[in-house]
Amino acid sequence: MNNRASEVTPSSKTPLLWIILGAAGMFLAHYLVFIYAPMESTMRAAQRIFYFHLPSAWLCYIGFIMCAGWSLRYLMTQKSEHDALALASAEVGLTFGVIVLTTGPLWARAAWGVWWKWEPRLTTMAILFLIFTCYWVIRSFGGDNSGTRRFGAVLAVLGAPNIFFVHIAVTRWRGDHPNNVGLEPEMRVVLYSCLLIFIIIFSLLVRLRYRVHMDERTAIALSRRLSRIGG
Amino acid sequence: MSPFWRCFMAILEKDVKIELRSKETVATVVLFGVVLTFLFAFGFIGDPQTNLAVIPGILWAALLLSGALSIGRTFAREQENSAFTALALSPTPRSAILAAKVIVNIVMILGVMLVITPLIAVLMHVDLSGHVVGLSSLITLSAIGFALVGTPLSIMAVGARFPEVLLPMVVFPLVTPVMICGVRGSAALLGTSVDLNYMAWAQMILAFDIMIGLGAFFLFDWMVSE
Amino acid sequence: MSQEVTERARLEAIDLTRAFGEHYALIEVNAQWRAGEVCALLGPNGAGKSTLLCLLSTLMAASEGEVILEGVTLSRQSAAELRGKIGFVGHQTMVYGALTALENLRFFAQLYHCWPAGVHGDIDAEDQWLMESIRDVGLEQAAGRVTSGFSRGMSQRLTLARALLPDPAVLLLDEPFTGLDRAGIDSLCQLISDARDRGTTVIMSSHDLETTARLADRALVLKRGRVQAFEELNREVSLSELYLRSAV
Repeated sequence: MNNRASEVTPSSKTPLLWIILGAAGMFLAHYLVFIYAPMESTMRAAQRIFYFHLPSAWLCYIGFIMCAGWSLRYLMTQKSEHDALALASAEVGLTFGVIVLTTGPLWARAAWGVWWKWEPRLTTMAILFLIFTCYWVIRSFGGDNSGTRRFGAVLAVLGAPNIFFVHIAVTRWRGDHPNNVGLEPEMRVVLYSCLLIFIIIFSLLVRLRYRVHMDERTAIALSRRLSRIGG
Repeated sequence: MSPFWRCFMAILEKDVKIELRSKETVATVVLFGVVLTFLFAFGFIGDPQTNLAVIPGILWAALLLSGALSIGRTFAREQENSAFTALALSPTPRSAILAAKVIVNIVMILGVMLVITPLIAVLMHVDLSGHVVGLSSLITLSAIGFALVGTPLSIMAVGARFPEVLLPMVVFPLVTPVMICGVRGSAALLGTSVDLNYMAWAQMILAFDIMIGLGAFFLFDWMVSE
Repeated sequence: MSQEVTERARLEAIDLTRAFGEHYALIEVNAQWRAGEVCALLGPNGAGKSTLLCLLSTLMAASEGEVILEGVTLSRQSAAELRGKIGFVGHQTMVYGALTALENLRFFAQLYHCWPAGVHGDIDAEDQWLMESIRDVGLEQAAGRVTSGFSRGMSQRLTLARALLPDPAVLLLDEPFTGLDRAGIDSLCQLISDARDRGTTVIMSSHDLETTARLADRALVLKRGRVQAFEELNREVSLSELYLRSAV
């Protein structure tokens, strides 16, 4: 009982500083994107999507890679913490994935005139998103038992490196990269500030989700103990 | 003989024996493949140029779908009377179970493709006779890749008491590289796509097979500890 | 209980606990079993009998606690080695319907690699040896028949033959008498007591108190996942008495 209780303590502090940083950062990001950043000549306002789109894409990938890493760790150690971290990373990764897949077509519509293009990064992101949606669905509906956890972990571990192949395959198939326009210094400032702010929000979310999962598990463990005493 | 090989051969021998006797799985999967072929043919038949262009897509979609059925069937057999429990309780190395099942599934998928490919060529008025080596190597590599992804996951699904319908949903996104490379590779072979030589695509599937194979066998011991 | 502790136990359960979600199926079960004894596992439905057998058979992993077989703690590393020493008969027959009785046994003999010296490699000698164990369970007439046509009782006998094939140190039986006729029960009892005489530890769950009483040396009574009683059976303590006492 004691060791279970102590598992809760380190995460129970509310990361107030991070929440304030994240919230303030979000306001700052909006200011930077909509007011500070100079208007791009060809794409006009639609180009501003890019400042949220790109950091989200990076963090989505990072979330999924973290999920695969923690899953591998979980398969080896069978530790509940590692599984909770994997699940939390996947969930936050998916959240950023939703941002990417919403902003992406909007930008594509403005830039290419179509909502969707079979372009390597887009396709890779879509497949990766699909795989981790499956992961999340299975984790949500499969019941929280070790079988489901392990199944999810294997899915994540096999799924993440898969992306490498999808990317190469689509690159070879449709070598149609979006033109890497040279960014003006101000644009660069906005992009990297947004990235930093998104990183803060990302790590905050992962931490909070992890805590929720661990608290849930502690609650279940405690209620089990109670039923044991009572029964 | 090491325990791995002994058990591997025993499981393989047993599966072949059962299949030769009941022919149930082969019949189901091949019939399913044939039905699919007709459906696709109805859906896509057009002028000769279109036919040539859609054939790779049809072949690989058929491969994935009948592969999913094949994997499901080979495990239904193990679940009858819970025979898989007896297998799990025996001192059989887990990797031997996986290896034997992967081989069975590869053979099964190749068997279906052996029936489907000529059939589709006939139905769609396409002459594939000039590309036998290229097509069969692409199909073989794809079948290996699919079996390597699908088999461990379906073994785990048995253990996790998982609804079987979820399995294709999980497996198909994971084998996207096989689908893309297989389709592009055979398109290159048939001359409808000019992007790359089919060998390059075959190499990519091979690389995928090796990576997934290593991953699956490395992880499998951890996958089924219960 | 005290005198057994001095003797080295063949099979031990230490604080064995298993939870499914929020529900505990087994709570801190501590028990030791000697070589050559038959232990009856009693308790109402849902008491945790099957769970205990699954944990002892390596089919399930314990949530807490450990299983020790002949001094070796069950773990991921030792599981393969220990599995060869455990025979398990569950609710399901666990045989392949499309194979004959002989082929079923041959398959498992290959997996367990439990051929006696001099037999391995010679197909005829192997078959002869397998036929012996088929004869032991009284299936010699049906050895060449496909098992999908077997009655429940016949499948049960075959399952037992499969479990006994490697001459296991521990034989775990989950409701072995269900679906058997009188003669079937008698021959099963004979097989179990033969196994005991060879030094096998037999642990069996059953609702058939009368038959169990004929075999059991000891009884472990479970109730809501906890050990209610674990006692030697003799003239003073009869099985039904023990069962009634703990059921109240």
